[in-house]
Amino acid sequence: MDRTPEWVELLLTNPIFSTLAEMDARALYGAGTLRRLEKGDLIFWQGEAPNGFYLVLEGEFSVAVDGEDGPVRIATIHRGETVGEMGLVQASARSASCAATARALVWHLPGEVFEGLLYRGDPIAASILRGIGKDLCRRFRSAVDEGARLVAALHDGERIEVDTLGWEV
Amino acid sequence: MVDPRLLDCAESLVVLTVEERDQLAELLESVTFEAGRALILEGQRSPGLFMLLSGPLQVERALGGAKDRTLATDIPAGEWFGQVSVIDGLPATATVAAAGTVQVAYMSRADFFALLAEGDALGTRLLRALLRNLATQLGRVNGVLVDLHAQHDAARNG
Repeated sequence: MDRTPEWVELLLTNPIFSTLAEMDARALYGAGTLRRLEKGDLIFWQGEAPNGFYLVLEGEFSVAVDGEDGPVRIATIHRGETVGEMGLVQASARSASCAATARALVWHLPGEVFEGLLYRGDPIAASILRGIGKDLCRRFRSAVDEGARLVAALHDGERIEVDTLGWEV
Repeated sequence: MVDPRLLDCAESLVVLTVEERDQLAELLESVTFEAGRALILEGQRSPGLFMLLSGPLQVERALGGAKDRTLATDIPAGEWFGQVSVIDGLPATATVAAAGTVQVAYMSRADFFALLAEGDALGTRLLRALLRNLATQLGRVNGVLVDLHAQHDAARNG
């Protein structure tokens, strides 16, 4: 049975793709590939050069970083969520590994397909980037708020000059 | 316009071709701010995108609590700022002010969205460059957060 309509609908529920028209979502879906995975299979690993990103259609994935005593789980990716999308904006190696926790199915948009959309100035690429941008902004605001809260607690009442944004002062 | 060679200090723009860099330079405006002038005000939407070309900038943020406190830092040349507020349309997270004579490359919010709406590849590539810069900044903030959490835990337990 062709489950394309179901997967396109799932794609559109993800915030990164929510601004796409249904026709564009269908075209984008057609440009990607489906990949079936078994428990423990990796879709990417820490240190690997990024190649596109993934939407979880079925199953669940564990995101983990290398620790002194083995992998340390930092996140769980569920059905309808994306993983690896930072690879579309950063050239740096994957910062974590991602493995299926049970039998799973993902949709993969390869990096070269996205680059092609970008090169042609396709509005689908702009929509995806805007979606990623909103998510990045939310995470940035949350991190800065958390930093401010911790600094306020550590330096009660003082005027302080710290490298809170991570730049060398 | 901005001298295109001045944009070479921006690591985020390495994704642009030389032609695109030159095209972007024509769309950016070179603006000078004297010491004490605020470019972005915390709590207000950023008027646009800024890329530091030269000079010292200070980033301040009012903190809650009995007394307002401020954070401060410097920004190296080539860094973008104001992009979070432009992209998500929400008020700026901090005040950015000149701590001396500062030169920036500037694009208004309206011009940025007009460029994106044109459907030209440059607009999309600029957006990716901004996100690349933001992702790097987020990585740095997260690194600082790890240290701050460690300090906070040590202070609480010590």
